[in-house]
Amino acid sequence: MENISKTTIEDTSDEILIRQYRDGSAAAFDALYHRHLPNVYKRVRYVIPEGDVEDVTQEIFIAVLRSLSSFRGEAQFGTWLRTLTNHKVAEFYRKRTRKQEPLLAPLSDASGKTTGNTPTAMEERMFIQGALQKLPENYREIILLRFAEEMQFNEIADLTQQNLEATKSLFRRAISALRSHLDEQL
Amino acid sequence: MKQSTERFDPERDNRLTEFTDQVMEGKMEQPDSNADDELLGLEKTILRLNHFLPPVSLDESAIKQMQVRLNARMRREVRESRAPFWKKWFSYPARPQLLAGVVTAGLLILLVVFLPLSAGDGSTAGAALKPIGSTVLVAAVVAGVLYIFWIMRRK
Repeated sequence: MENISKTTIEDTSDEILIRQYRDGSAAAFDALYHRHLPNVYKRVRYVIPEGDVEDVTQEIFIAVLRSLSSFRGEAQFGTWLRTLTNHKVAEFYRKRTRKQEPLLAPLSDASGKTTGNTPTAMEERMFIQGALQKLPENYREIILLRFAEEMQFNEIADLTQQNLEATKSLFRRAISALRSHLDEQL
Repeated sequence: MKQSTERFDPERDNRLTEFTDQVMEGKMEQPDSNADDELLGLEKTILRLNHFLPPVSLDESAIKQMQVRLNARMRREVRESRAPFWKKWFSYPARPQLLAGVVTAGLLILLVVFLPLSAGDGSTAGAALKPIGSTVLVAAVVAGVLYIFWIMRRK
């Protein structure tokens, strides 16, 4: 199983890679990781403070490794992974609340690669991330799909099995709710 | 203003999604001057999101580095999972509450053992044990309280 060639792996579906992983192929998991890490990372980075992004991302893939044997394929792997990511993000905020850590990250976290690493920009990012966490799940999800995963609206409509008009309407309501939360927190 | 955002409004939906597409493609950096107040507010929110949380991409080397760190972490976790159960159960970061519980149980046992000795029955028998029992009891209670206080502070 380990001798799966690189080109074969790249063309192989998630479902087949999962089967190969269950049969003992570490290379199959590496391929899954390589394929899905960028989107998981983007999604996590959008909602988690910069200093914790890699840690949370790694925890998600450790959870994937532990759960793959019980993955029954009722949903697509990508959808299942998004749900798992959302759970891990929620867990991060639950733990953070329990520890009563301040919303703002220490300034040592200001080593990000994003626009504006000034304390003000970091505060603003965390302020927006806090507002995103307060949104209903379907609102937060459409914002993440469009901004973090950079999906087009027609792709989001396909993924969520809604028509394009409903998707656009949901997006507008989501942005409106986010705006209200941002205004409230001022 | 808030009410109109809830109603079915395909024109606004289209304008906002088109604006978003343009912002994401880097073709728009200012709100649309023709927008009404509500749309203007939403467009400003889109610009704010895109400015402070811009899209990122992981390059190949970053993916490989993260994969190496994940493998190292997995190996460490496997090693730790092979450690004797008592070591895992009582290690401080893993189960501070359990450890605190064991200490509290120990204190209770000390109380049960030493309380009758220190209370005494009025006779002189075992009188020599009284001060020792009381001292140990007081010391144990103080140590226990301090320990639990320390645990709470660490959390």
